[in-house]
Amino acid sequence: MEDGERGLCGDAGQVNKRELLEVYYRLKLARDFETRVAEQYAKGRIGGFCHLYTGEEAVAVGALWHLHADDYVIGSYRDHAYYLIRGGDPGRCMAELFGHADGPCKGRGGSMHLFDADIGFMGGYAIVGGMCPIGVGLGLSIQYKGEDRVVLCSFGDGATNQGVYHEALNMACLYKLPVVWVCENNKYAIGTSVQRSSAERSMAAKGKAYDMPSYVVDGMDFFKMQSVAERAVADARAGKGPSFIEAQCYRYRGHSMSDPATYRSKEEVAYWKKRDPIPKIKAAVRHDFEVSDDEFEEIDRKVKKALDAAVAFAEAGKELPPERVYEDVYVEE
Amino acid sequence: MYEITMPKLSDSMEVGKIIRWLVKEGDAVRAGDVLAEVESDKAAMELECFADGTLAEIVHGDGSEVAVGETIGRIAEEGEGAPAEDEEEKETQAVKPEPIVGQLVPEEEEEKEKKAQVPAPAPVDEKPPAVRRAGEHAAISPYARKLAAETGVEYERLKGSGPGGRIVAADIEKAAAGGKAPERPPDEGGANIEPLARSVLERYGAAIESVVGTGPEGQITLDDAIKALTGRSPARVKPSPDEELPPLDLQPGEADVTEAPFRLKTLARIVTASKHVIPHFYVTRGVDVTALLKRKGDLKESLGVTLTHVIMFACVEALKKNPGVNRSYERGKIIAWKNVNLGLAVDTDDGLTVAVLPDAQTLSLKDMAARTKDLVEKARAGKLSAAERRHPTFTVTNLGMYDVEHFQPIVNPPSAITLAVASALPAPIIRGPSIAIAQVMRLTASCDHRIISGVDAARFLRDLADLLEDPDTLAG
Amino acid sequence: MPKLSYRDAINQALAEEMERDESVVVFGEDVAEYEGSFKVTRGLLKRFGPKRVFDTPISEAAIVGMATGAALGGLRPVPELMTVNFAYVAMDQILNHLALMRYMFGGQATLPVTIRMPGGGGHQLGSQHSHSAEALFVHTAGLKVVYPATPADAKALLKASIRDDNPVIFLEHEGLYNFEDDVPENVAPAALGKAALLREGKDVTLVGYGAMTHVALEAAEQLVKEDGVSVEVVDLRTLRPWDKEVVAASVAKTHRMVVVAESPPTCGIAAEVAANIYEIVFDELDAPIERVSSADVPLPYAKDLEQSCIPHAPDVVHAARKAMNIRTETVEPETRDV
Repeated sequence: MEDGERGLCGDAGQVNKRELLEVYYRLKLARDFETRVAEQYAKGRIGGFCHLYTGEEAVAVGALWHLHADDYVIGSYRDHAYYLIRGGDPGRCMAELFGHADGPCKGRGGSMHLFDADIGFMGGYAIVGGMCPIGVGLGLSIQYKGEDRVVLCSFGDGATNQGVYHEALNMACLYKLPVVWVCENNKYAIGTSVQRSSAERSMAAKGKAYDMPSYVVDGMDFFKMQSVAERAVADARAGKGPSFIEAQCYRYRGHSMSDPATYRSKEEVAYWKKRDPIPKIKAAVRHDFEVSDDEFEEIDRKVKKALDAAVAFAEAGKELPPERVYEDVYVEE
Repeated sequence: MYEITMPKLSDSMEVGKIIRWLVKEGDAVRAGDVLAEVESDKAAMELECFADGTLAEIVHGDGSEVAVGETIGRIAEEGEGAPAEDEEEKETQAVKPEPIVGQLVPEEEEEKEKKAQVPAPAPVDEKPPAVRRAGEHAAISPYARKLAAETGVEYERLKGSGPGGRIVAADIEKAAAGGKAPERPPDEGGANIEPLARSVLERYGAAIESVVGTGPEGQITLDDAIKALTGRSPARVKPSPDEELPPLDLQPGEADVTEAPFRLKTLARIVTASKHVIPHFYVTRGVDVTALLKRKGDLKESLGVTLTHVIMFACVEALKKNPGVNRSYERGKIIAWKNVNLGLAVDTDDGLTVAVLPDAQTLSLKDMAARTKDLVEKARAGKLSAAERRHPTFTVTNLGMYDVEHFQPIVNPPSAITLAVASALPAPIIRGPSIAIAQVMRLTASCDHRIISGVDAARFLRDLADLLEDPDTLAG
Repeated sequence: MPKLSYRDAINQALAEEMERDESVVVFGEDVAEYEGSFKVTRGLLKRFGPKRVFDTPISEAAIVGMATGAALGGLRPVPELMTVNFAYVAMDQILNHLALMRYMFGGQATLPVTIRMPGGGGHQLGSQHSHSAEALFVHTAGLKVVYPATPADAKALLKASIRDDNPVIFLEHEGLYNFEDDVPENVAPAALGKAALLREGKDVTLVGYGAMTHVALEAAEQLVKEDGVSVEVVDLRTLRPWDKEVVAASVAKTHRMVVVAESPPTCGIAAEVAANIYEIVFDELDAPIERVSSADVPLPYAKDLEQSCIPHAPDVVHAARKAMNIRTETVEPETRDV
């Protein structure tokens, strides 16, 4: 592990133990939350489509590490981790997945459509690539108003073949909007690999085509991820326009809860599991600091407590009654 | 206890199939382990473990099809002692009714209830109902009809000037302006009554007004008419057995009345239905068990085997020779069982129960005895597993310990034969030229005549008797 | 009162709203330097500058998506799609994002986007350039749909649409751009969802929108002159939500209705109006509701052939006579209903 790659807050070259433990906490929260979601889905408490982020945590934690509270994040249906890392409450998140009225979208969005403008999370979207032009629009509003904000727009490898993705990248680069494009290249769009679907196998090249800085980074490594994101976010904030980050990563589970992922070999999955971001962060802490197992376990307990409370909160809630189904279609005068 | 339930693996899934368990009862398990392979409506998936502990029980085994959400197994989580099972839950499980013809009865009961709950007839409307003549239908626009009602124009005989002869507003306006005093159409008796019901009531001189209508919008149906005339509902639905008996008229203090436990109600339903539906016939045969009784002591000591066990074992052997008897009849189909699931009637504190030894044909006499002991204990403790309650293909009921000479049990479905074992009682028999006293045990086969014939029963009993009369060969 | 063309009325509405509210921005293909393919945005770039009025690449989906995102970020975008036909490229962003985000996100998103789209056929533009897509938008909860028939309405309704905090699809009829009519000096925003009674009568109600309102007015003149009847004409002005009260009250008075729409009959606006009027005032109807629609075909290029596919005044006259049960000796125009 090279020092230069750390680049966390604090003095240059100084690594902060508290912050590393915070990274561990965020990774664990995202990881364990998704496991709980799997459990609740299997029990029938969560319905419809449910896409888990298990394995990709370093991408969200790393990409969001340098964002300000009022920056915008917008992404796909694989959005639970983004919502949580952005500061969303796990209980409300679980409630939304249960379809209950105390979810941030009152149970009308569900797993794929979390949204909370207060924490700058501008939505999970189900149409592949559909969020990209909306990210452009957010960038336009920032540029127009001269605000000190950026947009982080994330999507998967499959989105890079969608027409509107190309339209969006083109416009963002043309107008030099403050948008950071994060492509989570987890190698598969449901069961179709990048090799079988993309004539240009390099996602970064598909970003570079629009004449912006394009990076390829190990998305299983928090340090590398946040280092690249730091640069891209700073450039956007400075008015230099968009950047493109291809985060190479892997989802341990299937595309969604109903996908047995038979299109991947067990060896491939095992290979990526060996590069799990969570053991890496623990090793990093141990490498540089005195830390006991207790300290990690305390964080584990904290996470467990938060998730137990989240499930309990969700279980205690209920759906909006049918009388309220017509609310919020329009803004009423 | 952590309940492992059939998971919902896709949004459209309602039933899943357990392809196979990858762990067995007693194995240690951890969160993240794969417990089993499960098939959803879309694909085969791995069943993930979410708890740490020991797999305490597999409730549904390989090949089972289970509804989403139903418990398929249990994990004793770390820190938990021996599973303290919920007695009540076990009881409800114990009496899950077998899918037999007896279930016709509860459904019919429900139907009767539904009929009795038909709402009272709707209040009579103030506006006189539109008179409709059979066959004829005046085409008239809605507005014209409204105008006709307002002006009292009788339009049925009007020739409309609209397309296809439709009566339009102009036609009504013209007719109204014509000054003819409209006549009210003759009252055809506005009562809401089926024509057939009306003619029945008229024939028997009953007043329509006195009859309560239970049809749509309070219409008097034929059934209502019949009920009014005869004081009884027409018998359309097969009455459930309880209803055939006149109800008990109890005086206060005469008896204590309590609600029968669910288990007993179920048993009552099943035996009543069995007697009702299955055509029973009985074949009795005396068996000379003198030799067998002589071996009773050493069989007990050496193999832990009792007389009942020997009889059970002999039944299974006899079934092997008479596979046609190890079958059932069900709604037009012949169910040829692949195994012998031997049912044994067990008397428990909560009443009669039938414990089932699955795959009895694979057991040696010694094993059968051991398993039966265990089975009886479990039955008495109310802890029979699902497999131990399921589908007895042959049932044995033994009253031998009570000096009973002979009895004819009720067939226990799906067994086609239920065998009654009476006591071995001394009886004179002819041996060669002399009379001797032998211990004779009368075995009575109660048979389902839909699938068992007299010859089948006789052959089976002959083979069974031969086995029991030669204990050395049977028990070794 | 001064006369203003439909085009200039729209242009003025845009300018006045941009003047009034700094968050209003206009973008689309060729709207800035070229001043719009129909010249509707003439002069805006010069007056408000390239930050507020700018050209985009040919990227309809991204144009709509960008408007949606900009609205999320606090702007009030008025993008233009060059014609309604190109809206089809952006349908996912319109129907599957813009229309439903407010509802889906539990009321947290406010999207004050007004998308302007010229439409209407009859100019030999070929099938791909001659759609009437209003039914698709009207069918979708979360959108409002406006279709003015007169210059005064175009100005008043566009101002109202821009100020409305909901997504509005603002349809303009290309054939009306040059149509001039009285427009007052100061036009206030008109309430959306209100129809206008353009002519009073008692024997039949003719309902139209966009260019077909003028067809209805023309038919009314002919009916009055030739048949001596009294004809009521209603201009819908807003298609979602549409003014059921005014139309129902009119039919309750006249008992007969003809709806004319320049679009195929299947699942169209005329069907929507008819179904609702049947429900609301069934007992007042003296005849089935007549629908006069375009032929249920993609519009052909050939001049006369195309014209035979679109409703004209004689078609409406014929339908009205049918409703009023007036037989004439003259040869009836060939019916084209499917």
